[in-house]
Amino acid sequence: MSTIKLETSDGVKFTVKTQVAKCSGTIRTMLEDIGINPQDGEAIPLSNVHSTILQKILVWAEHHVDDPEPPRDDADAAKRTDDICSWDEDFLKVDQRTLFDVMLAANYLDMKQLIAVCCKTVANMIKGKTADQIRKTFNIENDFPPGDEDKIRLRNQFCEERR
Amino acid sequence: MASSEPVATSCDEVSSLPPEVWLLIFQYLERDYLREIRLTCRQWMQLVDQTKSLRAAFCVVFRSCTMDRKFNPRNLYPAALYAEVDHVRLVAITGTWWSTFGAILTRLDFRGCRIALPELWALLSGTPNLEELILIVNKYQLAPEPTDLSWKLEKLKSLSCDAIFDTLGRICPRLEVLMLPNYGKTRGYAKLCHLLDSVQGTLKTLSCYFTPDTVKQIAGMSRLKLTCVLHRGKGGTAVELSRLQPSIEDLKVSFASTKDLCEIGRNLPNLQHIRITTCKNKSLFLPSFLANMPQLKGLSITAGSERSINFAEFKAPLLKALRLELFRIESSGWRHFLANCPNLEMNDLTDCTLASWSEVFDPQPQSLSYLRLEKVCVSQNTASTISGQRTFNLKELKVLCCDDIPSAIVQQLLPRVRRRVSLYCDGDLQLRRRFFFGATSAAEEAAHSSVCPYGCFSAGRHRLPPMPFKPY
Repeated sequence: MSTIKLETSDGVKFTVKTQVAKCSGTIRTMLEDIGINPQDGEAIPLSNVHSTILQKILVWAEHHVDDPEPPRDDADAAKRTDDICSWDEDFLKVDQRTLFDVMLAANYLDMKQLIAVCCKTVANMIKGKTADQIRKTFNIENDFPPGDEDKIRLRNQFCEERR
Repeated sequence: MASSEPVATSCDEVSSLPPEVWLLIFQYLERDYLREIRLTCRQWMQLVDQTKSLRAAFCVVFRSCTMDRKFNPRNLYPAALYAEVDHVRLVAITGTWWSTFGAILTRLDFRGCRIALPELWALLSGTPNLEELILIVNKYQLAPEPTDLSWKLEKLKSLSCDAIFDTLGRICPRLEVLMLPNYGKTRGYAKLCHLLDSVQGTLKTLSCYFTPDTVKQIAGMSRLKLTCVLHRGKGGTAVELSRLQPSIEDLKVSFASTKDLCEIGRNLPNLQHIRITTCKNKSLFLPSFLANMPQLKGLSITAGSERSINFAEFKAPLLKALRLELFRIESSGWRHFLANCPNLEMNDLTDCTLASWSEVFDPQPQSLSYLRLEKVCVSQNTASTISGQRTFNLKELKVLCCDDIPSAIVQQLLPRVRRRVSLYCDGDLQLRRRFFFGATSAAEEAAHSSVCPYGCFSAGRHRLPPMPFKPY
């Protein structure tokens, strides 16, 4: 089985099965389109990913390497956030910092399925919360001038569900 | 340098996701959650208000009020793309509120309103970005139509209305979709033809009642090239229309005989989707027209009253979606037909009778991912089994009001579904229990047994949307 080397931002080198590495659209493009030859023994530099995060992502990729391609136009299922498989649910039971770092790395590495499952996880953290609770959860500053929030809230009274 | 670097505490950098990643997350949120997102901080408010797919969740509704000189709504959602005007008396549009609000609207929907026509034109002149306009069951206070219009709705693609004014033809130069749902045979065809004539260069989709006179007029419109027609009227007009418009790819037709349908098939080499409502006739329905429609991807047939259908030797090799309603489906042709549909993805059987439950499931091709059964019953109650090693690739199985479906067949079916399947069935407790008996434990059944407002539920947590009958 062919392997390739990946080098993270902190200089750690990983030897990874090519098939697993190809879960990343970014790496796939490097290998197939740009023609980086992994046999050269040269490591592909991943300058935006830290070794602790890459390690985690590789665990995910290893587990999902045989997943079928997701259907493209599942508009119907687009908004679902309750369909995270239990393995992924456990995998993403991490502190917020790690979750966000995984997301950023997944985004950089172009791993659509991993991004989707992270997005769903964060969306589930948002659902059911008020703006105030959301701010507390994600440590966001309320930068509306005092009183403005009420005005913005009032605006929504004219909004209803589309028929 | 690296060695002495302090370990970042979790609090410092938590909100460090870039806006494009937050946007990806917001795509999974519905309107009520997006409402809170807008209130969280300025950046998020801008993200929602500047993203079409997100702000489209907010529709501004004006209901049961009078729009006159005194009307001045405050605190409107500033980024609204859609507005509904429902049972409103439109007397006068004044003030500046409409010029800012109307300017960004893409969809405007008037229903049940009383409208002073000059005010409607004044209002529409302030909506240059409108793509879709709906004017249904309104009462109009008639007035001479304006002769000097200096504006046009250049972006308007879709118009649905049940009253036609000459002005409409003059203000929508790029109309692609025209729906006239209640514009019946009794109304004058002259106004309709006048409108058609003025939009013939761009029109692609037309839904209306076709009288022989209308069809005659269409014959003279050399630039009209329709791709989708929802036909109402006598079968003969549909045949004539198919002769005049060979570009049609998607056709809905009522009360056409199989002879008419055969001719339509011959006239339309590009036909991909057809929706048929048959005549009220008790005789056997033979879809012989299929021989003339080799390109067919979508087929929907509704019987006018219950009758038998036999597919005999007819085939539709490219078919992706099949819907049958109010038929007794004869076994021999059915098995042969499905065996020759290697691409079938959706099958919807409503009010249909088959010989046995094995007939419902067994012949379905491996390609099938959506199966919807509503009020399906069987004529013989022989022991039902699904054959041998048969597996299914279903993504969604929806069962509504099929009270006689036996436990045995459910228990055989569910373990053979190869992937996670969304399962719906209706509110009947017994049926639900039967469905889940083989699939999940008693505890899981209890966890899933909450009934959602629509009376259906799924094997996951309940969800609502009805199964779409693609590609319509």
